[in-house]
Amino acid sequence: MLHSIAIAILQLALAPVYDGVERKVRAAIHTRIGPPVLQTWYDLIKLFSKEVVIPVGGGWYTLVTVLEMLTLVTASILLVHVSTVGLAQATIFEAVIFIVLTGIATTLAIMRAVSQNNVFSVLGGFREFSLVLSAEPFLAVSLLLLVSGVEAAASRAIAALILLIAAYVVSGRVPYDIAEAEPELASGVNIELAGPLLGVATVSAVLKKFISATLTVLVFVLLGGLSGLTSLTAVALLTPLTWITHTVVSTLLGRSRVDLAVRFLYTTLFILSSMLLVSYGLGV
Amino acid sequence: MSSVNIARALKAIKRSIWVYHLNSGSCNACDIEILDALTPYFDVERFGIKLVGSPRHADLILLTGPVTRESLPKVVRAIKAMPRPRLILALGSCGVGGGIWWDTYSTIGGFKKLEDILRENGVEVDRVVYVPGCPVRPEAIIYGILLLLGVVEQKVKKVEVVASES
Ligand code: SF4
Repeated sequence: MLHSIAIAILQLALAPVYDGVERKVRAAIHTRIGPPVLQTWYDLIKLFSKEVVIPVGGGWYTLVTVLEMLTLVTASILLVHVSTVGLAQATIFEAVIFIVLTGIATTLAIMRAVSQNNVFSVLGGFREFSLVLSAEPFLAVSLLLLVSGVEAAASRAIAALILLIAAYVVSGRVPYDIAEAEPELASGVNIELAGPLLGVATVSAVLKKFISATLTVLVFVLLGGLSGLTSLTAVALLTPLTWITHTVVSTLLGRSRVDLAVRFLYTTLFILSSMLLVSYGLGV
Repeated sequence: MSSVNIARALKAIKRSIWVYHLNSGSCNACDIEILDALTPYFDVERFGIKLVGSPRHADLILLTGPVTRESLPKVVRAIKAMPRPRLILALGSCGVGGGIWWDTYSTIGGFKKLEDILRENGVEVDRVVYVPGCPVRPEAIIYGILLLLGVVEQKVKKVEVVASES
């Protein structure tokens, strides 16, 4: 476990660099120079050196923001730990803990948004809520199915596809960045946060991207039947590559209307889940 | 009493500056130039400049317009909402000194007057740069930001000359 924590800390320190690479890649697609790869680190250093402004709601509000980040850190460490043994050896217990942790983090984010005395923040909170409802249950079902070691090829493939889509949504990229979507919508879950508190929320956003990339890699590693040290190395190397793939997808996708994006996602995942149910029932 | 080390924060802002666009009643030409400066063509992200949607996230306010009486309370509130250090770029002839509306009944006449009102309300502003022009050019906006951050040198300086008796 200590081994996993050490690797996780290294990976988490690298996560803002991956985010910087993302910005560089996006700039390259736009034929721009783009910011330095350490830009996200520079942003975080700046935010933590700014004035502390506690929004209306006081200490409780600060606690919720920090707790959300800590929950995501724990979920990330758990994922890295799972990658040291391979998803095939992961237990249902680990999968449930992961689902619960991400669920708690999202609930905390919604709680802090809707408890604000700012209607734009509340709006962002509701958008996050609709997004969570249309992605996380499907993510949970497909993850549990994959970890439970189902043998049928069609069921595994459909579950993996659902997990890949849901993992992309978790990363909060276009068009599923509607919870915040600044500056286009000028409202969002972070609108009242300033200085170090915004820094904590930014770390949470980067962690979500990290979790999304690692989860995506774990699915492929599982389908490839890897485990142990090979699996760990594969996950460590493939995480930045997946991160870049997500970037390319998000840069090529346009922003969708807030209600249409969620409806399209829900419909797609619902159809895929129905197919999964049928194939699982038939045992294919 | 502020909880922030201004010098340290200003050093950190040099690599990452988030801007908030605040129109205080301009004719919109300066605003169009701001949007122009933020397009991929000028690629301001390479300097760490990013547009944000809330003054709470901002380090710098891009202020256009002569500050109309109607917008004054909102402008003060927006500047107050920024965490310190607060930086302001007064843009265009209007933002700098009210432009052609400097003494009209419905405006207060640009940033210089606003500065006094901010001081009276206890809102401290840490650095200001004036960027004139009608409308202000996108290159001048970017130059103004870099001047504010100390990345480039000021080209024109005020020199006081005292005539000798002889
Ligand atoms: S400075 Fe000129 S262009 Fe800019 S807002 Fe004033 S009148 Fe319009």
